[in-house]
This record gives sequence, structure tokens and C-alpha cells, in this order.
Amino acid sequence: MIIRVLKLGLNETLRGKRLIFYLWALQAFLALAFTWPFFLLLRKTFAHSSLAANLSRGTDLIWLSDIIYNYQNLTPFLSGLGLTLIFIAIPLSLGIDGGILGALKSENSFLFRDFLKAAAFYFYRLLKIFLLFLLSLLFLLLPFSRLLSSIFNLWTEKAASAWPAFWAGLIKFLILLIVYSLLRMFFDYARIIMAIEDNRRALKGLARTAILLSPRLFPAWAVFLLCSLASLALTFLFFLILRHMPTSDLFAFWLSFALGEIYLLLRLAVKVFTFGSCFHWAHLAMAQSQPA
Amino acid sequence: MKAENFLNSRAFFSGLILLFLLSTSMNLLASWQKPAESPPVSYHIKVSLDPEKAMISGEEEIIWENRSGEAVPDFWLHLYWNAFKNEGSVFFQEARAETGLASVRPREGQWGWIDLESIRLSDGRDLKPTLEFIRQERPDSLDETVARVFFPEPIKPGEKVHLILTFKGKVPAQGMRVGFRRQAFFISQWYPKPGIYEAGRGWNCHAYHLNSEFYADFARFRVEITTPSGFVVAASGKEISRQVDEAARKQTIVFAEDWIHDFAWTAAPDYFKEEIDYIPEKEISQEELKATAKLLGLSPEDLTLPRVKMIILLRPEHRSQLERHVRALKAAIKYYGLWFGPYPYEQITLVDPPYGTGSGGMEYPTLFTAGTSLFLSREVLSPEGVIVHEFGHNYWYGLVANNEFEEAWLDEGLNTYSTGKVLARAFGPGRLSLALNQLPLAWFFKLPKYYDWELDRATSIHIASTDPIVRLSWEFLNRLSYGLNVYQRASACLYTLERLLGEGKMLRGLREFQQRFRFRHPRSEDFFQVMSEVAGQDLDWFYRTFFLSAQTFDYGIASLRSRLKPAKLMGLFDEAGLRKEIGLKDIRKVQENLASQEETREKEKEPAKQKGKEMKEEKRKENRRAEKAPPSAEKTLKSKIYLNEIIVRRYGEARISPDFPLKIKIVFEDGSEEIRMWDGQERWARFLLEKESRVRLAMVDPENIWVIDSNWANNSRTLESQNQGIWRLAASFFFILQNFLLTLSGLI
Repeated sequence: MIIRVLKLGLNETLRGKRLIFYLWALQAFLALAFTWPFFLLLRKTFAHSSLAANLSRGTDLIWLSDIIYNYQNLTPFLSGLGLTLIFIAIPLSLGIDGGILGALKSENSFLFRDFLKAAAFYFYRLLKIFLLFLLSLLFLLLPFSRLLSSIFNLWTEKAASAWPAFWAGLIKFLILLIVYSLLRMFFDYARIIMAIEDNRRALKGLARTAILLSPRLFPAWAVFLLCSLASLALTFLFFLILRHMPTSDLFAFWLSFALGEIYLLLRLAVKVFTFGSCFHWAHLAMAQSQPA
Repeated sequence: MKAENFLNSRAFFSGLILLFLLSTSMNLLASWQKPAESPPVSYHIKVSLDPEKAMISGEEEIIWENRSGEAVPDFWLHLYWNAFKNEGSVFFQEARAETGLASVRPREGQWGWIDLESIRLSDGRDLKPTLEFIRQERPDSLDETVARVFFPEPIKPGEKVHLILTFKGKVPAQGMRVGFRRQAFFISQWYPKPGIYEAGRGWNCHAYHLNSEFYADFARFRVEITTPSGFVVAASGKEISRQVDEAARKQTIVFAEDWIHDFAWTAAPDYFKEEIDYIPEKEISQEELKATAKLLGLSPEDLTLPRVKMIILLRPEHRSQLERHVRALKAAIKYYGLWFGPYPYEQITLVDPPYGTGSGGMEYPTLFTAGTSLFLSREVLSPEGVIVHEFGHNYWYGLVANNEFEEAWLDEGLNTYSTGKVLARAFGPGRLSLALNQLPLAWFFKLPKYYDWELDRATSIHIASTDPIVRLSWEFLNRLSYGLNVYQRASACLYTLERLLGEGKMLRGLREFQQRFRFRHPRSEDFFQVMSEVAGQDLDWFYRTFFLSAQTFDYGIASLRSRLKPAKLMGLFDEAGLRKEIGLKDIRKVQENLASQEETREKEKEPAKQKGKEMKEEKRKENRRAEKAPPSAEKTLKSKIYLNEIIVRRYGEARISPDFPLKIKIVFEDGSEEIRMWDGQERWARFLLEKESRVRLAMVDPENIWVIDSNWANNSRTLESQNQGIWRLAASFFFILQNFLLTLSGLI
């Protein structure tokens, strides 16, 4: 079933090439909006300075310290800008997820306006799920993290070397990652199941998801993890290539930038692949759970 | 061989020359060695460590000679461990006032203390009844780090007093330079230590402040340390003897050294210990020796360095890092020795301190602590940086023993500067040292590479107007200001001084300072006096501007403009008895002529390239002739002349000295350059240059002498904008934001 579901997910990805481009364009637009003030700050400081040549050579402490020195009083403003970005990014992300769900449910060709309609259609229910997810992080993951820390502290606080602290940090990170991925998976499936069943009630959707997932937890998680691993592998490969690319000359830099955009498109493709696979898994699971 | 023949023989003369050279080098070495006379203080301490209770108990004999020229009625002692006794100490009261990352909070149950159980004169008279705690800096505190006892009669100048003390101490575990973890101990500031009596000022004996280090007089130490047998023990000084009591399962190791002013030691059962000789002949090539001698204006023989025994103690988990530790220590001994004089002790001990004790990165005479991580990156200079720095303190603090309470920069700033130079010379730039869960981020990301002076500048330009560098340690605004001023800002100022004077003069000055003030206690004025002498210039302005005041230093190009000089001026002009009017039509005609001349010149450019230089030279001569000719309204320019205007500004409060005027370099589009000088006293200056070419770039301080300048971006201005680098950076930021948005959407 897992392989079948992944194949279906891949089909959805190939079917939704236009969708991937919509996703890329929306995120690029937001990123551009917040890059623009940064660009203007740089221009103000460096456009007519011979220090601009240092910018081409990569990060160095000279120009970095000058930027910080010149704009240290803007720290509150820049912090506010950062928070604003996050507050815009969250609803945008929910909208994008809604658009993907709409695309998956649609059997016809999916245009940008269809994408926006679906984003609006599913927005509110996705928002409810998101808020419940935040609560789960606050009331489940955070206390669990504190419990883990206090357990590991018994091991590390009297340690004679840094090794216990290192292993404790690593093990704690892995455990939390596993717990986080379980929570994430659960809520992702909840969104998808709510979309499939056209259910607007978040708590009912969560209950339905729990019923569906309980007897099939590991296959569901396996689908989710394999898709996440694909994303990680892609990221690892990209940074490995980037590390070996020269960036000192202009052509090489823009080539690596283009490579970066391709990487982002592929990551979005993996996102669609993840949604598609989970979508089809949910369908199959729901079909299996139907009484004969 | 007959006597007469021998005296005439080549062997004899060779032997004479060899003897002469040997004695010369020994004399030269001797001039750097410990003074022949005894130091003013002598300690004989017997201390016993109880690892189970984390306590020490000791007997101490102090012989103190009054060299002040005044009768001294009392005796002040540091009892540093009482800083960790309770929150009422000056240390913890100041810690409470700190916020954020710099905050230090006491750890409950980890208190430490030292009790002076008895203090008597050698004739048995008890001084303990006169004991009181001094709280001169914070009378409202419960501080017990400075104690005073009174003598039955004042100690006359030249007299010695012999005191016998017994004390007990609980090793603190507050993570501040001393501590223990299980059975591993690092013990510093552990014995009752007298202050320094200064003529006319009394006892210089400050409380243990959060933002200060230490100050004591040179002494002879003989310390007998008793620990359980099987412990590896290292200490300041040289190991003299070792006795093992099999029955009690204890060992007593005796360490001794002369002319040091502090004594630290460490004991643990599991140190990995290695002893390696530093042999200068193997480490320093003849070429490097000659080059360094030339730089310092000395002969290679003047730079003779002695052998030094390097004792290295590593934690077992860091054993594989021995090679890096040794390499760094060798580089430190080499360059500090070549530049600032030979190391005068027989051994140096490098300790990788016990984990979790907070005792890493600290200096003591002939012993220092470094500190490292489980995982290292080849490209990050850690632990090299801390090893070179802490060894370097043996020069700046250990030998030239400034008052770290009152003028901390004189060791920290000087040493930060020296460390940066050694690292640059021995290792080149290193990558930023950032880690996540012990894993160096340099393994995964191409972090920026830098030289230490860049980091010094980057960190210090933000606190220029907060505090002056020369300030009592506890009077800085906060811990951050203290650290950035005495370390980084002082170092950045010294780099600036080096660039002003030249590397040779700077190093000669430092070498002279080291030689003159070895085994003494100099002040900041002494340093600048020596530097002025060696530089042959009065550097008082530099000292006052950068060390005694808190002012931002920032000169820059405020504006750069270039406009065509009008070919003709409009209006009525009297010439040869006639009044003539020049109007717009006349001007337009001239401009058209000029334009067509320009066109012709452009077309002829290709074939005429070869004659280009001669033509330019001809033009220059013509312009010079034209400049000399009296002004004439009728004079028509044969080619375009540009009026280039450069305005230079002093943005900061600090001013340069008129003896070191600011250089301004102006580059034109035709490739020519001109230099102007400005005394930098006023707020701004305008420079007008008439030339056939437009200005392309104007730059203050083209050689980047003023490292301490807060803003290098405004040091230059180009007429045309240069956006290539800005686009690159903006594109990188754009990509980072896209990644962030995508990752965020995946996480939520």
C-alpha cells in the first residue's frame, strides 16, 4: 500500500506542475516584498562606497560590522519587520495548503483562480487545525521536552566530560523530532481528511483522524516520513553541491542562485508529493475502514 | 702544540670568538632573566586537598619586605574565595546588576569560602584579634575578600615581617576560574595573598569584583601540595621533589619558582600528561630569524631564545588533540619570544581544565588554562586562539605585571593585539567559531574567515562612546562594556597605532616596554612614554583621545560632485579698455565646438592609443601653462574642464593629531590620482580640483590605517554607483527568505 500511495503521490506531482509554479510565485512575491527594504538599506550604505567590492567577495566582518553599526538603532524596527513576515507567512502557508488540497480534489485542469478559490475555501478550517496544533505543541511537546531535560540532567550534571552532554543533546533532539513528526503527521492527515469529507468541524476531524490512524499508525507514519526524508535528502544534496561551487565570479554566483531556485521548486514539488501521497493514503484507509 | 703556537693558532681565535658569542648571547639572555635580588615577598605554603569534601587546608609563611619607604602599620590580604561565600559579596552584588547573556547567577549549594584560622608573627604574637574586613568600594556589602590586621608596631622601611598563617577553604563551584567536578580540581586564588603597598597611596588591595582580575607583588614561592596518590598534579613553577606516603595513600609534591606573583595548581586522577621540550633551533629558521631581526633593528644574536619545557595536561577525551595544542604553544613561545624577549622561566604548563569548572581560558604565571571541545574544525582557530592568548599573558600580566583591577587593558588589550599578530603569522585567518551541541558549524557551512583585528574592530566600534578604555574595572557600565573595551577596543587602537607607526617601530616599542618593565608594575602612562620614545614622536594625543576618552572616531567622504566648468562666463567684461558682453549664444557656440572636438578625439582614440601618453603629457603641460596665464573672459577652453568637489567630514568626536594628518586620495576617470592632506580638526573641509577628467573616487585613509574608524563604508565615495555586490547580497537574502518561508510552512 505504501508504494502504491507514493506512486499516486508522484502522479499528482507530475499532474500539478503548474501548481508548483503558483506556490513558488506566491512565496517569491512575499520574499521579494521583504527583501526590498534590505536592498534599499544596502544601497544607501554601499552604492557609492568602494567597500561595495567586498560584498562581491562574500561575507566578511568589515562590511557586516559596518551595516550593523550604521543600523543598530533600527533593531526594534527590523525585529518588528521580522515578526510581520511571520504573521503574514502563516496565513499564506495555510492558504497555500488549502490550494494544494483543492488541486488534489479537482480532477480538471487547475488554474490560478481555482487555486485562490480553494485557498479561501479551506482557509478557516485549516486555521482551526493550525491553532489546535499550536496547542498540542504547547501542552504536549513542551512539557515532554522539559521532562526529557530533567531526566537527562541527572546524567549530565555531574559528568566529568562533555560526552554525556553531547549524547544527551543528540538523543533528546532525536526523541523530540520523533514526537514532533508524529504530531505533525496527525494534524496533516486531519487536514486532508477534513478536506476529503468536507468536514468543517476541527474537533470532529481530529477524532475521525484518530480513529482512522490508530490501526494503521505505522504505515501512515512511514508515508509521511519517507516524504520528509525526500525533502531532507534534497536539501543535503543541494548544500553539498553549493559548498563545492565557486561563488567568487559573477557568473558562478548567478548560476548558484539559479540552482537555488530550482532547489526551491523541487522542494515545493516534494511538498505537493507529500500532500498527494497522504491524500491517497487517507482515501485508501477510508475505503478500507468502510463496512463491507 | 707549544703555548706560543697555540696562542697564535686558528683554533685559539675561533675558540675566543665562540666564547665571545656565547657570553654575548648569555649576557643578552641574562638581561631578560629574573633579577638577581630576592623579590619583595616570599611564600612557603603547605596545602592539603581533601577531594571527598572538596576542601583545602593550609599553613602559610609569608615574609614581606617593606620597600615602600614608609612605615606600614597594617597588612592587607586578599581572601578571594569569600567572594563565593554568599550573595552579599561585592562579586555577587555586581553580578545581580547584570542582565542578559552577561548575567552570572549564584548556584545554590556550590558556595566556597576561605577562613583565616590564625595569623601570627613568627615570634608568636597573635594578630587575629585585630582582623577586620575592608569594604572600601561597597561599604553596604557583606564582602569578606579583603582583610586587614594591624602590627603591634609599624614595619619600618627596609624591614621584613615574617607571618605564619593557617587557613581552611571550601573549593567553590560557581564556574568562575576555580572549581571541581567529581575528583578533578582546578585551584586558583586559594591562599591568603597580600596586596601591594604603594608609597603615598597605601595598600592597593581591591575586593574581588565581577569585572576584574588580580594584582599582587612578585614573590618567591615554595608550595607543598598534598593530594591522594595517583592524582596527576601540575602547578605554577617547577617540580622540586615528590614524596609518596604509601600507608596514607597520599603524595606531597613540592613546586618552587622565583619572581612570579601568583600560584595556581590542578589535580585530577585522569589527566593525560605530556612533557615536550621546545627547542628554538628546530622551530625558527635562519631566514625568519634574520627577517625578524631586521624588522626590529637588531642582530639575529639579540633574538636568541632559550629552551623551554612544555608540560601539557589534557583531559582524557581530548587526548587526540595533543598535536594541535603543542603546535599552538610552540607558535606562541616562538613569536612572543622573538618579538618581545625570551621567556625567562624553565617551564610552561598548559592545562586543559576539568569540565564544568569554568576555569578555562585563564592565565597564571608559568601555568595557564586553555579549553577545547570534543570536535574541532581544521579551519577554526580553536583551541589555538586561547592557547596563544593565555600563554601570551605570561608576558603581559605575568612579567610586565600591571594592575588588572585598575588598568585591565594594559594586559588584556596588549595581549589581544599580540595574540592576533601571532595567529595571523602562524596560522592565517580562521573561520568563525560557532557550534551547535559541540558540533562545529564550520563543518557544514562556509562561515566567514577573518583575522583577529577584524573581529576586534567589528566588536569594539559599538561601544566607543560608552566608557574610556582606561577605567577602574568595576566602574565600566556593564560586563559587556568592560570586556569589549579592555580587550577588543584596546586591541583595535593598538592595531591603529601599529599602522600609524609601522610594524617595526610598534614591535620595537613593545619589546622595549617588556624589557624595561619586566618584573615591575607599570601603568598606562609608562607604556605610552616608551612608545613615544621609540616612535620619536609624542603619542600623548593618541593616549588621551583613544584611551582616556570615550569618543567615536569617524572620518568620511560626505559628498563627491563633478560638473563641467563653464567654457565661458556670462556677463559684462572689461578688456583692453573695451566692455564686452558674453551671452548664452556665445556660450552655446563654445560648447558646440568643444563637443565636436571631443567627438573627433574619440574617433581618433583607437589608432592614437599609442600616442596617448604623449598627448596626455602635452595636455598637462598646456593646462599648466593655461593655469599660469592671467584669467581672461575671452579665453576659450580648448577642452572640457571639470570642477571636482570633495567634501570630507569628521562625523565622530575624536580628532586626529595635526602631526598625523588625514590622507585623502582622489582618483580620476583618466586614471590619474592626487593626494590631499587634512588636519582633521574642523567638522568638514572642501577640496576643489579643476581637471580635464571627472573624479571617479575619493577616499579618506586609503591605507586603512585607522582601524578604529567606526564606519569604513563612508571612507570612500564613487561618482557612479556600484551595484553588483549589492545585487548579489540582496539575491542571497532573497533566497534565504524563500527558504525560511518554505521551512516555516513545512513546520506548521
